Amino acid sequence: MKNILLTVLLTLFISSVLLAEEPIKVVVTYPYLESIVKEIGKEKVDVSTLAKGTEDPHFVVPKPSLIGRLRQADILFINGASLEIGFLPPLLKQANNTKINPGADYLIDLSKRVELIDKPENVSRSEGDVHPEGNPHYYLSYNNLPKIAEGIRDGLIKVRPGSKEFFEKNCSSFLKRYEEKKEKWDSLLGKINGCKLIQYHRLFNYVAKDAKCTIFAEIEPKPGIPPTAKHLEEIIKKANGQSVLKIIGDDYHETKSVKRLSEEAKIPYVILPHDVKSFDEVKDIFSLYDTVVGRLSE
Amino acid sequence: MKRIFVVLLILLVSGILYAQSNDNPFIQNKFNPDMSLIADFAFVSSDIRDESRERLEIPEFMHHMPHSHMNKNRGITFNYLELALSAPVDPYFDLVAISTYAPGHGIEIEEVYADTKFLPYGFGLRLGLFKSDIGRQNSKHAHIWDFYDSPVIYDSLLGTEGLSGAGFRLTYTFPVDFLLQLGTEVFQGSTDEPVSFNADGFTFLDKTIEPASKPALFTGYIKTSFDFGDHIFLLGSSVIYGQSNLVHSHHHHGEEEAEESHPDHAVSASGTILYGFDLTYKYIVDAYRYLSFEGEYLSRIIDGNLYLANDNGTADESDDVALEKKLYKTNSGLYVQTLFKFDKRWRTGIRLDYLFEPDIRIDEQSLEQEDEKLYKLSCMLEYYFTEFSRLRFQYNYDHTKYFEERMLPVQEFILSLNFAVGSHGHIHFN
Repeated sequence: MKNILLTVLLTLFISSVLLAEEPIKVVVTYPYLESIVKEIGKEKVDVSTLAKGTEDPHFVVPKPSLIGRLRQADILFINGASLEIGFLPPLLKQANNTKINPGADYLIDLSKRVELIDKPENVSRSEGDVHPEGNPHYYLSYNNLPKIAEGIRDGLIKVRPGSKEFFEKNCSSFLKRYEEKKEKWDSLLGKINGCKLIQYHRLFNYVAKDAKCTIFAEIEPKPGIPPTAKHLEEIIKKANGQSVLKIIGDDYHETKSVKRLSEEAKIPYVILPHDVKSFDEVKDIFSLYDTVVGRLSE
Repeated sequence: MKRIFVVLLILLVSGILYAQSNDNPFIQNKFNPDMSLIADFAFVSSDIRDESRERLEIPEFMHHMPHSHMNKNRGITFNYLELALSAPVDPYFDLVAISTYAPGHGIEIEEVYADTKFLPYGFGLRLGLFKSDIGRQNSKHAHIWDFYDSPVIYDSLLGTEGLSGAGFRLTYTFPVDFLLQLGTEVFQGSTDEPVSFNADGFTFLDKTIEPASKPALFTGYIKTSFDFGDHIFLLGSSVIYGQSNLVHSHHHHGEEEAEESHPDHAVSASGTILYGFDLTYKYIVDAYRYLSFEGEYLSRIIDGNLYLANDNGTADESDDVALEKKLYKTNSGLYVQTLFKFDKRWRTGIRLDYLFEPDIRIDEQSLEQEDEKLYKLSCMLEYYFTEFSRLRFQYNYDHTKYFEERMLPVQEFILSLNFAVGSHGHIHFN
């Protein structure tokens, strides 16, 4: 009897030690979050990402296999601001993981950490795909990175308080590297200060704000609505003599309209990544900002 | 019923408006359930008259046209209005209620169920009235069907709207990096419009069948899904077990009231088994394009008694007696479809329905079957203004239906429009 008890206790002890050493199962919605989680969690996290970098972030394919990953997750980090509203809720419902169900402690909405812009006064779908919370593409501004990183750091600490120092140390060294990079990015954006930009979708509003630029026009007549020939002509007319600096296309929308507009309005265009892994060279969060800021200020 | 629905809707909307427009210190609008409305309309052109359509059948598969919200009468039709409400009840449950108003059908509560949020270790529990999760097509509501109509094998064996009922479901999801899920459901098993399963009793002429002890309908299924890069696979296998107490009527031709029908024969089987397999393969081309292939096979085995009317050779039907025979019957069929989403706004697809020759033995004597191959071909083209509004063209060539005991191929051209407003709908893995 004593032996059995001892064996059971020993097994429990050993398994708890083993469990403590097992990496935290982190699920994130987008590749940019994966990149930051890996910087802060290092070997103590095992990250799964729901979306691919080449997908439209609003229309991610809800692969049923993702349910298995969500079911095992210790924590889920999302972009928030309704960017995941179309594909995540049914997957979460199927996974039925008490830790990350909506309202549970380990579903971390990072949009709550940052100040969102372009919050619509009235919400109506006649205005296209509008987000009541504000523009959800806040992560494209490097100025929001510290807040996102801190959100991830705090989430990981909540799952494993014993590794608090580890996560804090990684986060601060990550942010130190960021500060060095930021100086370069600031000076690059400084070069285009006050410019006018045209973009395809409302992806780069935060970047434009950082550069103190104005979004002169959008190729989509309304968010999520593909452009018409008439709308493009209106932009060409409006842009005539306005010295618009650049037309911004992105990796997942069609580029035909961007090129046409560029040709006819004689404004150079640039194709920017919307997420990590959208282009081969955009390997992590720093190269995302390097590419966005670099190409924009070229 | 219709009035209650309208009043409810007006109350809900005015409540929301009131709450938003006043400085009411007791405003509770943040607690209002998520609400969405779906409206469906169609224009149908067909080479069969509406009165004749009502009398179409598929011998040994479908005795009369199934109950459906998708109107197939010729001309312009309003099909249905669906109201879906959902909200967390508390930290432990979510409640979902989906009701539909369809002309000629009145208000129907399609689903009202609670999902638990507190079960650990990958278990899930659903309680209430809901659609079964067996198969691939069964749990889908009409607005997310890939075609205007449901597959013929569903119409024949489970009903156009699929198997649903009051009961509970327990699921278990395995802790693996792909999807592996087991589910089992227990349903009461009694229904107003039985297709394959019914546990209620019946009286057929002088024969009375007692109701089965309830709950009387059980299902089990396994689903798995995995992917290799942009190639996604989803496989499922399901089984349903239950009581089949079915009375089949036939219409007496030439009578003034088409509604007037007489029981023709009845079936009572205690261990009817329906099983199925499904396979989906989807290739993601890029952010907006995909190619998918889906197939599903269903088979039903009825082993019980058949009751035929023995009319004693007199004109008076009141002294008819039921003639009892042994019945063994297997019905199977499948559908296969390919969909191609070739643009953000366009999708096209083709579907083939096929019914296998049934195996029927009455008193251990095999019944001769007709030689006709039973199949239906459908093609569709969809245009999405946005994910909230869809226009669909569909052409059907239906070679499964019989009219007055003769094969009658039916051609249809359907133009349908679907709108969704309210809380954001979800992208489905179609």
